[in-house]
Amino acid sequence: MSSKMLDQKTINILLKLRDSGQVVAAGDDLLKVVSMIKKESAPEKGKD
Amino acid sequence: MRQQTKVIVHNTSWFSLGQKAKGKPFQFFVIEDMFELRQIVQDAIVMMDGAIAGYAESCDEIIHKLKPVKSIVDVITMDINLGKMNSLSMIPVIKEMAPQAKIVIVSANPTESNVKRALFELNVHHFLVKPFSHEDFCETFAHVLGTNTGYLADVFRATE
Repeated sequence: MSSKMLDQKTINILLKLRDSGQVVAAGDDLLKVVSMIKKESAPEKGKD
Repeated sequence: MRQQTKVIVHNTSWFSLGQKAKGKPFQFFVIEDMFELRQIVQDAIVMMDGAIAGYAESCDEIIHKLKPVKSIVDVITMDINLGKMNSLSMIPVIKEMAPQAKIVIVSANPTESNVKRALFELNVHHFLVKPFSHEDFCETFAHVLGTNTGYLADVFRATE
């Protein structure tokens, strides 16, 4: 498995997905989903 | 160095984790091989009104040091790399000894494989990355002990 380091925010999202019952096992695409969630929840730049 | 860490911990504002029934503090067992970091974690727990039931510095120590306090421990904080050993393999044993205890990994080695194994195979309660911020430290234990209703609210704030 990959030795890529995960940050606290990614781990927190994984915890939230697990604890809410939305994800019960770590699949290959899980980190791609988390990455998409992080992008969507990041504040948009250049907008007031 | 010991004095420096004590000053940092004692000059930071902490909130209380609250108490168990009958006014007793939550009991923590700290598994960490680095003396200074173990002191920081222990001091911070005490500043949040928690109590230290015991500690272990290596995988070899975990069983015999946890055994006398296993029934009173509420939270176990656990480093992954203890010397040359990976402590994740000890979690099933720890869970059998102290099934009521909530396990929090505190590690500077949050590899994808370690995190997935801890969260989805071993079902630990939380994973805190070192070095951690004061806020992350507080929020982790408040969440684990159910004293923070705003857990991770900011994570999805923009999407809600």
